[in-house]
Amino acid sequence: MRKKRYFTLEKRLSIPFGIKLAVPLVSIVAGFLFSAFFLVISGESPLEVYSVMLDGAFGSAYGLSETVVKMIPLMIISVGVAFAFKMQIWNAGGEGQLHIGAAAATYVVLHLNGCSRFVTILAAFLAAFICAGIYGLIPAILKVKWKVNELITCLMLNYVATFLIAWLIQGPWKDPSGFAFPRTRKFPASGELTTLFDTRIHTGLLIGLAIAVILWFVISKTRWGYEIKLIGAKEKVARYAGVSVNRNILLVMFISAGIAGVAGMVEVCGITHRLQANFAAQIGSSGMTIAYLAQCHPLGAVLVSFLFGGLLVGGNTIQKLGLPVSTVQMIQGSILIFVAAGAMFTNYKIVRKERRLGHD
Amino acid sequence: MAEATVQMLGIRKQFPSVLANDNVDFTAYAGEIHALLGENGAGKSTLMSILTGVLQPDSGEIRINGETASIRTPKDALQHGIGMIYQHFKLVKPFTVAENIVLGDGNVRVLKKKKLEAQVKALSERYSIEINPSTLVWQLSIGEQQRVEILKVLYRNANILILDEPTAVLTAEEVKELFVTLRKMTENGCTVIFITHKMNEVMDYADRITVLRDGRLVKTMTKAETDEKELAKLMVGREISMGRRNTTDTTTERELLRVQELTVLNDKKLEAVRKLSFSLYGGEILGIAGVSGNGQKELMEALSGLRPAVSGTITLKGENITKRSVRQRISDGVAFIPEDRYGFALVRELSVADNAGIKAYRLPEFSRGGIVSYKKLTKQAEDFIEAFEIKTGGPKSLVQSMSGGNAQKLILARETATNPDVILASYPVRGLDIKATESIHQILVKEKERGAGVLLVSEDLDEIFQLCDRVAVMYEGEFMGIVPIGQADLETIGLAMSGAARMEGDPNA
Repeated sequence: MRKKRYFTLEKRLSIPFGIKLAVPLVSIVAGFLFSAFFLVISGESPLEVYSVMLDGAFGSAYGLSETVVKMIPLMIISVGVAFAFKMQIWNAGGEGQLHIGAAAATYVVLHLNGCSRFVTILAAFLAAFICAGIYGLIPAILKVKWKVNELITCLMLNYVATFLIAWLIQGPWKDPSGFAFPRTRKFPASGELTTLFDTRIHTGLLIGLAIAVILWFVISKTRWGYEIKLIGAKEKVARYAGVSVNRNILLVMFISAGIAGVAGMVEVCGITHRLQANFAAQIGSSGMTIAYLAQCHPLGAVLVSFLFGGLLVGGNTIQKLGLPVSTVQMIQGSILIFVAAGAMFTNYKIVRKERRLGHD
Repeated sequence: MAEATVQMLGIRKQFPSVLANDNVDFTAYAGEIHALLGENGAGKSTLMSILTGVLQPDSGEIRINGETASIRTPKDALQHGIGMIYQHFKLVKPFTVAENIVLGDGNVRVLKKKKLEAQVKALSERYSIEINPSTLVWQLSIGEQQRVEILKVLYRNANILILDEPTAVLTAEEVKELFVTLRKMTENGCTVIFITHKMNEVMDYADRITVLRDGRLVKTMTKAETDEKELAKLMVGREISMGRRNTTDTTTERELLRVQELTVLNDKKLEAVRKLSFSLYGGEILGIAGVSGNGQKELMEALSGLRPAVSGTITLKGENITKRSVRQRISDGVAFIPEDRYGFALVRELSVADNAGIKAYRLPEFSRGGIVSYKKLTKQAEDFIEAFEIKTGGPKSLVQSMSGGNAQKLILARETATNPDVILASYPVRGLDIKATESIHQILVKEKERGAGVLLVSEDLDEIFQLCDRVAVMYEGEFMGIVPIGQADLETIGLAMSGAARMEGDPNA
């Protein structure tokens, strides 16, 4: 009887903490090695490129502060969508919800002249959260009432929101003294988030960290969090245990979308100080990637957002080295692919098996 | 007698946990309708899957029209003229009847619609199957879809037709029409084999009958040689192997659950439970015997609140709970051990402690001010493991690493932890070994001795006789009578299970 050896993937019964940490790190290194191959082909020294990249993102106070600046909206939106992902509700509408939140905040700030900064920011926060939350209820209601797939409606609503904002800033909300630029008036000082440590870092960082900690607490400690985890683990069992799945879909989508809206609010109040075209390019899709990589853990999302911010800032630095944008994107892309694909090894391990071949 | 078209000799098929076919001989002739009768798990489907090439036998021989045949795939089977109609249809809904019939026929390169529809029309007329070849399949009723399936195999020149419980999804009128068609086919020289556990169909339509039980051939006979009583006995067969385990009569006057005129729909929106009325008293185990698929699942889901009642009322301890949510019913004292252990009651990927806590987490003992004490949930799981002797790596180990018996013990530990008044248990020992079965039964008896009312759905008559104080038989959404266990015997239960006769007995005795 012949034997055939082969390798197969087997699900891990439990995931050691070391694996959780080692897998993404090894994946990042593998991504850099993979890109190094292409850098060598195009005549660059990978070592030099990487050291400039690393130095640009984390090596100086300025670089570090810029990394944090990029991290803030990513962190907030990823924590938001991760909350819905935790329940297996695929909120792919972060991008649209972020735009609605930014628009709501802009409206409030531009119409609350004369209020204190605290009141203005609080009002902008609430407006962004509630408007984006309601926007997120649209796919949730469609799902609960008619079982419409939320992934599709969310993606479609992204277009609706971004084009709505494009219309606003080129039409009714356009700054009359802004020449041809599609953007609103500049915010009054009371509508700007306070900056920290003399950098571009703003208090949005604290808002985001607070949201992440609160959601971590909700998920891991509270009764409601228990229900959310149970629904995420298996909806049928949750129904059997007497958990109202539909109510939770509505509630969680509202909050998830609301938080994504806050990401838009901190970006306009903290960085651009007005609503303008492309103020949040790619944040929505990156938010989903981060949530996935962080395995929907709110504090994990904070960490991954920081690395993501570093990747963006580091990418900008090597562009100054004279590398084409496409090379920069290639490095960013391959790191992402390796990290995303490598995540499989967190849940699975490779085992070697033997199969006996019967008759031949 | 006509020529034997199908001969299966000494067929044996071993699955990892059961011997599904043990040295089974089976013969069918041209021009006959042959019923293959037996309870669930008797080995009927396995035998037919072997004949159609879906499964390979471990040993045994198949002869088709007298010649030894090697059937390794359903395609081989079709080449020998063997076609199978499954219980769940394999049709492409947006396609027309004719398109579905020709689908998968490798000889067709170009689809000539008109010609094809004419062919199908001629074929359907030959067997008096009423169908319009150009209708889209999604517009057809279930009965009509089945006709398409039949035409599909006839189109491929099958002359040995196997139907797996063909009437399970049909209305009474459709059943009649189906057998008119099948009779027409036998008149044209076909062999028709149908798998069933319904006595009336066997007696009304079959020419010969083969009874299987526990993987073995019991007897093959013509209809004239037998009657319903004998068939029921052959089907259920065995003597009660073990004595009664539930010996004390603890039934009280306390009416815990009253069900009145309850009607419930299944997933296909057909009536699965029909105007059912009964009461469950404290301290008793009421057994619901019957072949599964007769509304047991829908009844239990309706009682637990997972499935809405179309009409009728459910009264728990004097209060109408018909409209109450699952959550309310759980706190009112209804526990549920569902038949699909891993589909409903457990999450394989979560730990023992998490699974133990899915109902308890919201109780005041385990959470205060909205904060869950995971420590207390873990402690609870430890208590369960000890009290119910659950074999596991501890509260943190995953349920998927546990055996079925231990997983079921975990469910029972959880469901009985709050001392519920009503325990709904569906097939609680299905697939478990003797030892695990024993402990699950002990738990149920202990619960009834505590004063709970237990509603036990089971297909296993041994289990019913060992445990129950009263027994009801469910058939097509109705009870064929409820009798005290002392007044029940195998024969009457067997007849009631196949819908042949009601159980008579004085329910107050």
